[in-house]
Amino acid sequence: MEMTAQNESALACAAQRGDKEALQLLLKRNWGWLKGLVYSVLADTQELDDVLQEVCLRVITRIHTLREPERFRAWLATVARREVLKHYRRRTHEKVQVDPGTISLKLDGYIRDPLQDVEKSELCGRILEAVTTLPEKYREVFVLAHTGELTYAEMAEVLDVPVTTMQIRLVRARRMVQNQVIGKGYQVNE
Amino acid sequence: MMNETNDWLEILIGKLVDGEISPAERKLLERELETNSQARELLEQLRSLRQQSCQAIAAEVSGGASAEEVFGRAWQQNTKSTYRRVFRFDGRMRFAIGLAAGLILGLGLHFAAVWSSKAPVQGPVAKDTEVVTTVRAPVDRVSGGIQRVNVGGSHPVTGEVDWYVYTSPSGEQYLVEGVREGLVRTADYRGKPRPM
Repeated sequence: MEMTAQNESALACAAQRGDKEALQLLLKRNWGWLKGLVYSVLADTQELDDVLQEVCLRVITRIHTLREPERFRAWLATVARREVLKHYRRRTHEKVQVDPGTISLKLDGYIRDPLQDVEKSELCGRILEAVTTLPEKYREVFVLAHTGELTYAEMAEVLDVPVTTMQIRLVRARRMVQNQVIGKGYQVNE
Repeated sequence: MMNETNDWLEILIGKLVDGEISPAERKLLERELETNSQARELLEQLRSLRQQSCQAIAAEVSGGASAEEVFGRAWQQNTKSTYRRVFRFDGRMRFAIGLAAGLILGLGLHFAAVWSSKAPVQGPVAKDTEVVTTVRAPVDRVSGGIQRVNVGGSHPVTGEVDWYVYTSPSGEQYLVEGVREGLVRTADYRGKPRPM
């Protein structure tokens, strides 16, 4: 059977038996949202690769402790969150000011019209700035929802909350970002 | 500030823009959108926000190393740290290893000394030595014409020296002193001759 046809649970079992390829494939499949989750906690991309490497290292050394292979995704999210927090504590956190110029360079693949380019890059810069100022639980759900890789049920699994809680957090996070972008500030009922 | 109705509507619109809405919820939302202009405006805002947010976040996290690269580095790091874990000794481990090595060395030296002190003398090496006198003492045979003399009691004897009586083919007896490594030398003995 090819690796691609195997489900995550089987891959997790193989990884626990020391199969390097299975573990690599498992991480590759979950890479998008994992990166988003790490980014959402760090609120910074400068150390993203370093932290992701720490997460990978922790997964390699602790995969044998995974008791329910079918819940690998939730376990990975927990490991990632812990590693990010460890990293987070080590450094003195500074809010990263998003430079719209940097964003416009990154968005080259998306935008064609130069005028629209400037407007959209400014808007994207404002969105990212708003995202970095969100409380963590809202930032996590917002970033995960916009990496476009997970369903609501999968996001709830990763965040270890019920689906309804996740939905409410997402609605509030969107409202906060929207209000921040158009300059209204937060208006959230906690 | 939003009320409960708006929360419900916003959840439904959010589900619609995220592609998570069920057919029943879609019908309900469509009916609401037909009559509610604010809901239609909110839908447009959320659609735009979602699109822009997806682009912004994708652009933000799309750079950097690939999953394979990061995993490869982590795997290599793990291999190195495993090596360090295997060959890293802490203070207690060093003490235990030193103690064990000392014990083994001490025991080895002890048994080597015991073995060398009991090594038999090879052949009648005292043949060319000068005759001093015969010995009056109990003897036990070692090899050939050599007999070990058990000198004990009140005689001051060094533990590292063995005494032997050598009987020549002509019947004469020689007292010889055996030292380490099979060397012998003539003994200084002042006793009465032993009756043959």
